Amino acid sequence: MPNRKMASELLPAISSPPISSGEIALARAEWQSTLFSEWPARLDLLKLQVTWPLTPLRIRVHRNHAFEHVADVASRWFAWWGRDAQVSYSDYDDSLSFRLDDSQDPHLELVWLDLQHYAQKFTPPELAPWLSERLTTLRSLSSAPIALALIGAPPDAHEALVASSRTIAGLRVVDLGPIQQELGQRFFDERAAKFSGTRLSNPACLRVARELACRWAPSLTTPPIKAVALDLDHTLYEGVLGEDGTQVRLTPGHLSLQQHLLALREKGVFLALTSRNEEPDVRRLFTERSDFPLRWEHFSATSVNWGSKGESLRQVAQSLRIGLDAILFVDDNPGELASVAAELPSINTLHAASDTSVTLRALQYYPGLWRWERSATDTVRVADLDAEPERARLAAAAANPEEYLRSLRVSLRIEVNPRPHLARMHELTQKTNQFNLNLERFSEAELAELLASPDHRLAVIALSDRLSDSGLVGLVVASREAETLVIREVAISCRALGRRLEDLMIASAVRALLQELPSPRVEFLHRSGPRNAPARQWLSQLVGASLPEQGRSPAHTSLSRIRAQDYPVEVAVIHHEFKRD
Amino acid sequence: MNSNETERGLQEVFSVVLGHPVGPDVTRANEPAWDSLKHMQLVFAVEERFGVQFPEEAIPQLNSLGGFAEHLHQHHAP
Repeated sequence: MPNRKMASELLPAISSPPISSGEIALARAEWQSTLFSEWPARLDLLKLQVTWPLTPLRIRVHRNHAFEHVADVASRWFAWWGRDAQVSYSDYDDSLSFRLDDSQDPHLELVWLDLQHYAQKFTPPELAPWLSERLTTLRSLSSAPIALALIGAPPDAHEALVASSRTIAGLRVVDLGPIQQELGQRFFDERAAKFSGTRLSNPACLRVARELACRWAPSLTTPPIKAVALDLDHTLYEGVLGEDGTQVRLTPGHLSLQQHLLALREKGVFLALTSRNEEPDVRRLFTERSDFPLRWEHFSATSVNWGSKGESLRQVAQSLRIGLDAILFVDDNPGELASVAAELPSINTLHAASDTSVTLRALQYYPGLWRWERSATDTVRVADLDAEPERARLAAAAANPEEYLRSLRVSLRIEVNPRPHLARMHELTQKTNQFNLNLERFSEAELAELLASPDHRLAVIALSDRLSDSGLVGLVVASREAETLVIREVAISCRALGRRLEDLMIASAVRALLQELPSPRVEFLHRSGPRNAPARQWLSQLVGASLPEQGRSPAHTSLSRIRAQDYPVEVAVIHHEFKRD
Repeated sequence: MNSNETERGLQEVFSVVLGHPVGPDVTRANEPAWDSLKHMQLVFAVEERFGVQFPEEAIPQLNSLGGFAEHLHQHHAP
């Protein structure tokens, strides 16, 4: 960037001694009422002093109008998320020349444009192809995700701009429409345009800042929150559950909260219950209270007992087969939040405040819960895991693995060159930890590049059985090097593990890849990580040797021993057309 | 609100927005952090704090804390 670089000077320096995870949870809980009030005030936000360590998040802003009024206040929401937003700026550049000279690659590219600047330069039909060409250029210069934020789109042109940008890998178009609709005439402030280089009003800057730090940036740069684990008393309702359940009141605020949680579940987020109560009392409560939108069966994992919440949350993570860092724990008791955070530092915490509107807004904006789009796999996730107890029962009852698979009526679908599933492939490389052989965390842009490379092929694996459709659960990335097909990555979702299908899934995918890149040898790249022992054990068993920390293992002979006809499983293979662009 | 309260309130706003404590005599000329972007942020924050809206023609004239105070007293006195 040719212009000044503003490495985060937005937050006051931290000079106090390090604080514990528990203290951080308490401090974050105190910020919630300011950050998630209906109309946060610039002054109140800037008064918040960060007392905990932050992880840098480098954002490169390519702009033709000022972004500083947003960045200044966004720093507080970023800090709540645990990030130090380090923003670097381009010149005010209508031409979008993308002269990049930063020493470090950014985590996020933000293209921040006021389209009114182009009114005299382009007709509306000319604008979309020009912008698309410029964004394609940025894509070729950077592999970081790109967020495109446009204001002042000519009437009827916004949709065309969005459509032309959809073809660019790893790019998402920010929708400022809801903010503009909410603020009406207050969205713009012509006074600001005259004196500070943007037409956006103060309320609009505050709204954009919250969206950026709580929604857009987290969803583009970090794995999502997969589960919300909830306390009961004073969290899902007002009052304390007694044996007769009469002290419990569903206020309008708690009703909205429960409705929002149910909507999250429908979008593929697991709900879990962690409560210090008697389980029969809790079950009775959900049975008797027909006014509760949430039912007992909506919770994919429950831990109702008098033990520690930390232990309960460990059980929830195990039951849902997810990491603690993918769980958001919600409780009205700040002491409980602190105690859990101290015991499980990687878990996310949210305070269920007495003002339920603040809690609801904090939940709506919790970093990692909001997604740009929900994939088909997201919507089947909850039902898929709900089928697990029945699968376990069938496995226990079956005389052998073949009978088990036959009873499930399993089918696999392998798709090669699966360009339409780019977002899901990206999710699989980012989110799978246990069955991830080489821990290559490809960006969407990198995956798109591999899809267009003649020496590379990618395959996704879809799995279903008579109990549920698991969706796309696996990814295999291969490249041809001389006489060898090198498997650069194998990533399989935890939901697909335990059905004794890993051999068949991977061997079927590799065979499909070999059809497009014929090679006499196959080698798997592998690397040891903190949690990928299951993937390494699989490869170690396949090749019949222990694995070094990192390396490549020849596996063509071992793979040839895996025969599809030995499995009572239907396997379909689809070869999409390979395209260079 | 009397003039002392207004000045104290403005000092608080200016200190928060400019990122360090300032005195009542702070001006755009003697405060390096007070650039054109900060100027608009000061306007936004003072408007929030005092529940007012400055007219466009007044904004370039607000070049000191005292200038803000004077405008508030002249145009927004209770």
